[in-house]
Amino acid sequence: MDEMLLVTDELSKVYKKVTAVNSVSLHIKKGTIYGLIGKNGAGKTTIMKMITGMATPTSGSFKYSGFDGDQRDAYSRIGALIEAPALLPNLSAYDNIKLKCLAYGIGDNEYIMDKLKLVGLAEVAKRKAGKFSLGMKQRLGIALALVGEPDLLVLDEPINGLDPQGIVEIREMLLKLNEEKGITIIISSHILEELAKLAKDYAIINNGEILEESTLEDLKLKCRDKIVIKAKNTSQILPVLDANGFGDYQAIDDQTIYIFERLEDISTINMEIAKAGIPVESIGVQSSDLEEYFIKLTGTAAGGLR
Amino acid sequence: MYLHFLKSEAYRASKLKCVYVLLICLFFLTFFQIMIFTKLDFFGMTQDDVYELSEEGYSAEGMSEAFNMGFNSGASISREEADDEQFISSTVVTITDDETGEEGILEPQYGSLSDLWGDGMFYDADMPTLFALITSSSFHILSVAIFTGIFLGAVYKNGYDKNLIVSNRCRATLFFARLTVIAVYSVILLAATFLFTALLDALFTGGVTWNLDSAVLGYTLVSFIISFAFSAVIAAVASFTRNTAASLTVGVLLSMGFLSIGLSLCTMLLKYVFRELPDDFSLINYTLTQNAETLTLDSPGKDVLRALICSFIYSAASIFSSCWIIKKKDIG
Repeated sequence: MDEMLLVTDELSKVYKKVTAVNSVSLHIKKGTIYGLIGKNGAGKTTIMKMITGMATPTSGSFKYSGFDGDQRDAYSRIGALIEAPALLPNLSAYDNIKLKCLAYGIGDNEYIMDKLKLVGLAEVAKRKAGKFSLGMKQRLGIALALVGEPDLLVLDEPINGLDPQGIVEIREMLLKLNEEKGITIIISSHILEELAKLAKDYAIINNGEILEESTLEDLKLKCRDKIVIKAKNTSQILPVLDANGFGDYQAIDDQTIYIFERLEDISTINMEIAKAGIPVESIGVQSSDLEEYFIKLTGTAAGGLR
Repeated sequence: MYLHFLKSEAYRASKLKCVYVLLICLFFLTFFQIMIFTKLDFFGMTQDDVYELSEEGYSAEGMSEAFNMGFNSGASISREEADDEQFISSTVVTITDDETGEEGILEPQYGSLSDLWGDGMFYDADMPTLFALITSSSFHILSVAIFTGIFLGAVYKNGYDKNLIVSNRCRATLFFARLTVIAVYSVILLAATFLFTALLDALFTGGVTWNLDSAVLGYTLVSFIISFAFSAVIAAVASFTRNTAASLTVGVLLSMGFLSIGLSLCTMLLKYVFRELPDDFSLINYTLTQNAETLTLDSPGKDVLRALICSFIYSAASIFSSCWIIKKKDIG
């Protein structure tokens, strides 16, 4: 079993009378890139704030592995960029980083410049952060989150405002940090296409609740083009599939089978099942991408989702 | 953790323009105040004028004499006093006819602007007296209030705390580091006022009478404690509102004594309800602004004690409430 870095247990947050997050239980593996998928206002940011200690949960708890009792040590191993990058506009990019380095008691000039290089801001190190574009501010926010070499990076919509090239650069940088340094990353986005290129595990959130927590493989499986067979008893159909040379299929439940290969042979399958005298309620090819899957799951044409 | 935060916050403060702007303003304010105290002779009276008035049977009330005695002095000038060198710098406010006892205000007779330039009422005052006059003006605590509002408001406004604070326990540590920076800046303001006063006193009067004794040290210490308490109040406002404008506005209003009207009304009400209250009781006496403004080098012990107790209570209440709200309130 994979080692967990963070487990939340029925985490809830209520603002006055509005429930922003309702009994959320997440299981975040060490070394993974965990994607939080949800439309605007779904509760992604609130979850992130709670697990980084910025907001106090109304109820529920969470635990970082390896840090029993006082979670202060765990907090100090987190780097976060939540909501808009929190920068001091009158200070240069360099000074913004330096302030955090001083507060953490680490770093020198070289360390600060390394962080700026990593996000492609080394050449504008002395320019005031207030004069940066939104994309540059995002990059600086990520650089700030990386100060202190965190074990866990919590990034809320980190590619907001970035140009296509910037998105690719940030994605590559995050993948590199994850693969080379083993940093666990929790990332939220409503740009599902981008998230799909990064995350290994997912949680789909809607109205403050987790609708599904799954791995990339599971999600791919669910989003792959496939033949979907609905029948009253699928166990009778499986030998028919085997007999006809189908190997890449999955019995989802007692009434549903997914077949992921030879989609063009749908009529053959239908005929063979009929020959075996097994009643079939429906059979057809289903294709969906992550976005369609999300919409199907949440039951809404999600506002703000792309 | 505290020392790291302190370094970081001190560095941030050093990058704030207001730190330097306030020091420049302080210099010019000190310049004008010292000039007015030592060189401007508003009533245009010379020693000869005073002597002449005495000869004509009038007695004159010396402004500086009266000032030193709390403006209520009824002391009249005799010919001997008029001859006294110490009295050269005196200007006249009222004159009294010794025979009839009638009093009148002496209207200044200016021939030209240059008549104003002479020996001001504090020409002979020693440096600590001038220092006390300047630090007891509302500008000192106003400066502290402005710095506190901007220093704390900057991080609340931009949410920079999100980068630093990742646990509830660290929040109070960060707040104490910030309070330390504010306290240090308050000391810098006092030190700068001291230096500027000495420098400008020498410039305007040609020399400095130091007279540094334990009273000066005590006065400076109490002044610092009052200004720190005032900054703690503004810090509490900033922590609650997380808004630069709100904390600055409250700071300016408090330092300018805008609470006085309300407090006077409350005092009247209290005196009406509790008739046994002494006549000189006033709530204004328990404000930090009033304590800062009335504190002098030779303030009686009970006034100093009152200032210290008020400062302690305001500081404790402000720091306690700030820590409570900082820990309780979510960030961002």
